[in-house]
Amino acid sequence: MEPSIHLAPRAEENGYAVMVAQLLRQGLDERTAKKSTLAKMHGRVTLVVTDLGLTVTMVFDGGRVVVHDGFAGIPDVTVRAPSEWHTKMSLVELEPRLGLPDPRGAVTKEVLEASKRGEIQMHGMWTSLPLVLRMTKILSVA
Amino acid sequence: MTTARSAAVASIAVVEPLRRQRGDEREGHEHEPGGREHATAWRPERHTSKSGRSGSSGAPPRGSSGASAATAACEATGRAIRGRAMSHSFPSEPWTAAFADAVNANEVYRKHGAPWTYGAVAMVCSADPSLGLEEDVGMILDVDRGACRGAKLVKGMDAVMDTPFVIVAPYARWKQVIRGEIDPIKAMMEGKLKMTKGHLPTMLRFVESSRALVTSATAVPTTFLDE
Repeated sequence: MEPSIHLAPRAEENGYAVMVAQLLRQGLDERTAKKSTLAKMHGRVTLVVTDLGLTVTMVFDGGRVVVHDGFAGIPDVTVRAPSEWHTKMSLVELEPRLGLPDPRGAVTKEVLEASKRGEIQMHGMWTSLPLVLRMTKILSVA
Repeated sequence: MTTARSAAVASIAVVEPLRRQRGDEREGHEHEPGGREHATAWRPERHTSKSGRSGSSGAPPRGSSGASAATAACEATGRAIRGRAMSHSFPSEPWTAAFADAVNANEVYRKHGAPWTYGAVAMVCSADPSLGLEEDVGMILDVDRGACRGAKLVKGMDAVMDTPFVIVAPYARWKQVIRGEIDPIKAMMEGKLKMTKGHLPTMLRFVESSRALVTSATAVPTTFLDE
């Protein structure tokens, strides 16, 4: 199944929703391995940009993703962080064999430290760990 | 991309005579004994004389955020340049040339943009007849490996279609960027600056250089059409 990325109605008014959709589309075009990862993803992930007051929800349904402005239903995972960390999370280094975050990577370490300090809050990570890891993979540009 | 780069490189031929004219405008315009100009003047080569970098604060301080370090460096460069150059109207050909100089004087951009080989970047100011901008005005910067090799002012969106990266915003937003009032990356997330063309993953990989490139505009002494 060919992946499809769509913006929900009114989401085009949210600049971050537009960016996330563009990042997903271009990332999938660039690395086809991401397509098989996306096909396994089911659930809702909400990204809250605390300093800009922006909220975006991605609804994953197999190879289909709909990006919403604001909350859309009850999220499985919620990531709350300032804008700088949201951009940095896209730069997390992935371990090449499994595509998991590489704990030796400089950015990965920074993100982990920020999580410990509470600057990045991730709710639902442990109950939806596969979804979080796959999301990291498909949004990574590193 | 090759076509875009060729077009941008060709723009040097357009801007160079303007720079020569502009040389008379600059209070800080200096010449070395051999006729070589200091960094405030046009220099297509990547490496510039140390004297031209005196106004920059260098690499971002350890522990500080990338945004604040880039902005601080640009503001420091800006103070140095503003102290010795007259202001230019935005947008205009002299302003575009001064912007290219500011990019080349920006140590943060030089450092973070060193691996950039993805082509020119266009910054487009949307048409605003109330300000006398009857059509979109774009500034194409031929950036490569941490340096700006040429800059060109163009009119109409068709003129930037061959540019690999295009960022569009209304005049008021660019004014905020030039004044250092908004961070360009945050502004993109908010939809205030729109990347209408380009590869976003690449832009994010170069997030610090992208920020430094745009915030170099804060170093250009500017007069605005609505003031």
